[in-house]
Amino acid sequence: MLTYLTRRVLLLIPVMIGVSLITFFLLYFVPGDVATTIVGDRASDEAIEKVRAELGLDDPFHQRYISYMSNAIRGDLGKSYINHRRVADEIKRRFPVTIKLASLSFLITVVVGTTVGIISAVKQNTLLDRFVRSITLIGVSTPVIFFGLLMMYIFGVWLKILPVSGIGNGSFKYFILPSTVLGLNSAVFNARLTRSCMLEVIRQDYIRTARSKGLSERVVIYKHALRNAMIPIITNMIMTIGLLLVGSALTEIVFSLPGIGSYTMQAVFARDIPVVMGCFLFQAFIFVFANLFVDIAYAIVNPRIKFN
Amino acid sequence: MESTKEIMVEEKVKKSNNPWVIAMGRLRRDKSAMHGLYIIVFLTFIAVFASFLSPYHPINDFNLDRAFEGPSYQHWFGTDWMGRDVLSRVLYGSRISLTVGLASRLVTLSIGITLGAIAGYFRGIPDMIIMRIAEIMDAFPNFLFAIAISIAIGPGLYTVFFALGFVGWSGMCRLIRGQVLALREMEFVEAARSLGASDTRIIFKEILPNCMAPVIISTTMGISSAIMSEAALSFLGLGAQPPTPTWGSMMNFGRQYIYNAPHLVIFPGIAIALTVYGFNLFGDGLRDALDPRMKD
Repeated sequence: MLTYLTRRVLLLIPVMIGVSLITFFLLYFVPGDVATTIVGDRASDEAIEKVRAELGLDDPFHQRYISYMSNAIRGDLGKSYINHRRVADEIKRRFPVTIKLASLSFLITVVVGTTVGIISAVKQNTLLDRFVRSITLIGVSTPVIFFGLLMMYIFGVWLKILPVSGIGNGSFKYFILPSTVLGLNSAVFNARLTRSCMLEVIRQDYIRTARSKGLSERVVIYKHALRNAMIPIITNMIMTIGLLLVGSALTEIVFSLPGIGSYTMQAVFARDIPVVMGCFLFQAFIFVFANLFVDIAYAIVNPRIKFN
Repeated sequence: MESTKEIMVEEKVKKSNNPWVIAMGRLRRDKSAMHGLYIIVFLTFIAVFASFLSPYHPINDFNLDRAFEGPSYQHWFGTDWMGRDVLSRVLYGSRISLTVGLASRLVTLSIGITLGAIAGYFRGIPDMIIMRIAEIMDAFPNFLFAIAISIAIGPGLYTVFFALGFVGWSGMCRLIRGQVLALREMEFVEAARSLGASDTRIIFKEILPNCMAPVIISTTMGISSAIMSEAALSFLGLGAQPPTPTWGSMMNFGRQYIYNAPHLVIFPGIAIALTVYGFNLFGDGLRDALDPRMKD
């Protein structure tokens, strides 16, 4: 187990190097001259040259990459080309908003998604199950942008019971709509997965044995089936945390929440490369760690896994 | 007794043993899969004949005096901020969504099959290199990666094909590699090899045709997620550029007017959801038909 963990953690190093190298490489080719963007079109050639030298824009690719990464490891992700704020500070300031949105959404995903999935599996092929299956299929087919705008129109514009966008003073009511949208959007996936995991288990021989022993359906479902179906369900839950943390961008934009996702996208529109690079790296880092926790959790809850 | 046995034998003879025929029979009996197929056929018809079906031109027929009109007899889906007919724009938008869905899958398939087949068939060093790169790809959140590609090449329709196609290759590669690893030791491959068939011939004629079922399932499912991602990229202004009508960009511009013209968001939104729903229904049915073990 310990060797497995060490190996798994050490594997993060080449993966993160690869991820940063690819991102840096892609952003290296973004069209347009950065120095001109910063000082403006009408600046003199000397001014542009000076900026180029300051930012090290004339250095070869590998040199720029190495100097960027050695700063990044020390927590310095550079400064925005546009407002000259430090990227790391801005991420620190905005990340709590994303965390709040993601954790509320996660709560909804787990409570709604898992419950609905289990009920649907236990009542397989009944009217209720058919209803749940149609609703979840419609749910997974609806893009989060459309669902978000629809909810915003119904509750914010039409019924006027919830704020339309922004976070105002940061109070809870500003998070109700966005986290419901993001949460239900991932809950439908969760419900479908939970249902198929449960059904997979219910078909197993030991469930048939439990039934033929004369155990009550309640004991069969909750003691025998659910416990075994928990393995994929739990790993999926942890994966959802990572997906929600890096996948909240569209929801943040629709509801104008000042989180990491909207920060990234604003930088993408403005071609503010240091911000894009810093945000991508940060989010990839979160995602990689979330996947690490998935693997660890999987190893813990599933004693059958072989550590080689 | 005797006669029933005979009938049963006859029945067996009539039934085809070809797994594809059996699977297609199963698919045809699956009502929801067929509904999905009808939706796909309907949307394809709209995309192909958009220029005949649209009452107005999606870009040139603008009339600022009639901007933001709600649905009416002349404009079934209302008009947008330039007074353009939303119905015509939604109909034309199907072209972008369906083309992206298919073209990006072609990119995924060509990269994934090539690398997966090389990794699985030759094993050793090529396998190690390809799978390490795939691992890095998996570490990247897909949507962010598609955005990074889009801003590096510059936004546009062809960029979307490539960006959305490229992000899926590692999954496809893994799938193909697993199948190839299992199949390359089978007797029929051994037989082909002993007859002197070349590696290329063995891969393309013997191995790949035998691992098509999971590829077809994954590709169909991939179309719906590609359509969804295209809408998101267009929504962020990274898709096909204006004035080309795409459902995502229509929603992006429409959301500014959500207070007084919600139809600008609702109709393109329903169009995306319907398209993705169709492919999901059909994909689910296809999976059940081709791989009965996975049926839930």
